[in-house]
Amino acid sequence: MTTTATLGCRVQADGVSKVVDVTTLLPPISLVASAGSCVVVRGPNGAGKTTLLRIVAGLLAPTTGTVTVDGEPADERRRATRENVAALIGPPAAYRDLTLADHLTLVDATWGHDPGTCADRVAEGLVTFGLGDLAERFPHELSSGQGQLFRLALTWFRPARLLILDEPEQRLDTDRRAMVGHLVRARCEASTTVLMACHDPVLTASVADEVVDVGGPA
Amino acid sequence: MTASEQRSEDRARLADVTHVLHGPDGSGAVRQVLYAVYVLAILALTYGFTVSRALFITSDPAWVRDRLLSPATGCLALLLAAALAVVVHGAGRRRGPVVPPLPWVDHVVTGPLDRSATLREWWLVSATLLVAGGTVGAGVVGGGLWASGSAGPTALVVALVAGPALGVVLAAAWLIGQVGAGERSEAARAPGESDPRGRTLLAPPATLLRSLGLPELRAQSVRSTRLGGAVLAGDLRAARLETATPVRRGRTLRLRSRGRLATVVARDLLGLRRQPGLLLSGALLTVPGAAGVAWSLSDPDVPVALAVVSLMATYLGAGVWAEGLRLLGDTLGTPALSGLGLGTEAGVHTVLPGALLVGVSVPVALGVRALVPATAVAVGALVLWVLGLAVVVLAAQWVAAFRGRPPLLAFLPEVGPTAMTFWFARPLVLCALTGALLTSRAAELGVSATSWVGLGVTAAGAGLWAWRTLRAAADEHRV
Repeated sequence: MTTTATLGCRVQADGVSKVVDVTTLLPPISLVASAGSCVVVRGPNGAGKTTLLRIVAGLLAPTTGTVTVDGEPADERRRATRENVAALIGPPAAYRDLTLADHLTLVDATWGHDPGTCADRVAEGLVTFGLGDLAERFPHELSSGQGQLFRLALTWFRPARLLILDEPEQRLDTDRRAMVGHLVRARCEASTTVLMACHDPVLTASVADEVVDVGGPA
Repeated sequence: MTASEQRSEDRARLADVTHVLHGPDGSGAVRQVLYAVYVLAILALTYGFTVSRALFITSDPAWVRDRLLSPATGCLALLLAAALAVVVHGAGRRRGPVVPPLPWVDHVVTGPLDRSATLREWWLVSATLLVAGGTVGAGVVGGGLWASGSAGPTALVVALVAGPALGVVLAAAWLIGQVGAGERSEAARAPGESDPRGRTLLAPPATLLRSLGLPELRAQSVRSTRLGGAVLAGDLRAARLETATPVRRGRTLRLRSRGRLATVVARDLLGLRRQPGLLLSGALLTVPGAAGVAWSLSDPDVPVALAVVSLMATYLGAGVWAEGLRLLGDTLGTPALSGLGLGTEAGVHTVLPGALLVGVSVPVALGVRALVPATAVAVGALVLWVLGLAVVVLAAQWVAAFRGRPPLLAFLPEVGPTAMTFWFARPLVLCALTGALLTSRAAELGVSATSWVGLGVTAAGAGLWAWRTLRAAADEHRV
């Protein structure tokens, strides 16, 4: 599986909150994720985990506080944020007329990788997530678990120094969850910083360097 | 129990069900449809007829009589009706005329009652709307032709026969399409079960209604509900996904990496190869659209209404080819997977629809010019004009792809439908109106320097509007 060899990002959130009208989506919270570490965010449903991840990914502006990635504000409109941050927060918009292999090929090409070896990287990317036999399927032909693996494969496939995952374990069986745990640890060992929300205590224990509770203990 | 007794018992049990659900007055769906038809007829008589008459008068009745009311136009109308029937048949596979609410499907249609009886009400509603719509629409056109002096009273008589006939054909095609969506293969049919592919327009509706399977009825009911929600919310991605047929063709074709930009163009091309229907339907809209624009520019007598309709067809055809652009618009607000910037990627997704638009429009325009006797428009001017309009059409595609969320007005009960319709149709209407007015004016003035300045300013303005729409959409979700 292709991973970046560059140092992961340092993420710092100071007093970040999100309020819409009178509804508090995320109470103020602070966290620091050092380069190459895995920080797991826990909390009950509705605590604001996804909101926090969206803010760190630069997809949402905080109401209070700041989030920086390597000292720069997290804002997906900035080129540096888009280059450094890969995120799986909700299903990405897939092309209904492309197969799984085509999707990975497209992502690979847009990052300017060598066309001559693209097919090998695509095959490896699918095999890593157990999707090698499904390369010619369209996304709408996958089961819910296979769909989640495909979304993970897409997110993993693009270069990133910060990987943000919102409940990557959802819809996966025990073996696949363990596989995701191994892959997360491998990314951290390759210096990628990982920030993820997770409801699975086993997976959390296997990957977390630090656990942050949002909205009280999980 | 005889068949007659069985039917009587079914009717009585169905009446009981209806009484339980809706009270002694029944569901009232058919009565509501009849009332809607009544209102439609009044509006058609008061407004539709007036507008139609005015349109034909301003288009010069003599021109309409000599150029439009010919055997060739009649053949074209028949071809269009046939094409419409094919389209409606295809639509029936995704959303047919018989779509009861899900609880009705689950609790009533699943029972032992005759399925044609349990589904008849929804079929009657759809069929009535189509037949009434065909009658009123054709009546408005026929009446306008007669009242404007473009044709005799025969036009109205023919229209009042052809309109409902077209409605009947479309209703039948729609229902047959829905039946076809649930057809099982020969191996899956029960012993002795007839081949459903043998059904024709001559099969009675009751037979077709009995052929509708439960899984497809459920699927279409759920889809219809989701589609309605998507339309009300202005969620165009969801609406497209609900209406589109899942792609399964060309599975073994592979997207090859050809560099950062060329691969994106190859993606769009692969999408059209896997959905050749899109390529064809885009051409079916763009070819007559380009022909109408070229005719409008080459002949100053052509009414501006024809130019408007032609540009609408061109816009819609280019939109069919620009699925990659629409899909890119759908990804706004989601974490980036692509390594390209938004503006760059949007530009690359414009290459294929732009090439197809120019590749089709220019030869068609040159062909039409050759057929117009003594035209004053030079070949070079015609080609440049078509290219300028192509820029306007493609800019409108950007606006459509990146239009973002509907305005808050669209969710107010008083003005919501109007605001939503305007929000949705804005790029189409503005593109068609500006392009048509420029073209008609240029035809009158002989494509003068003023015309070129007008086209240049319009193309530049459209491009700026497209870019600003793209930037606004990129920022809109981050609140």
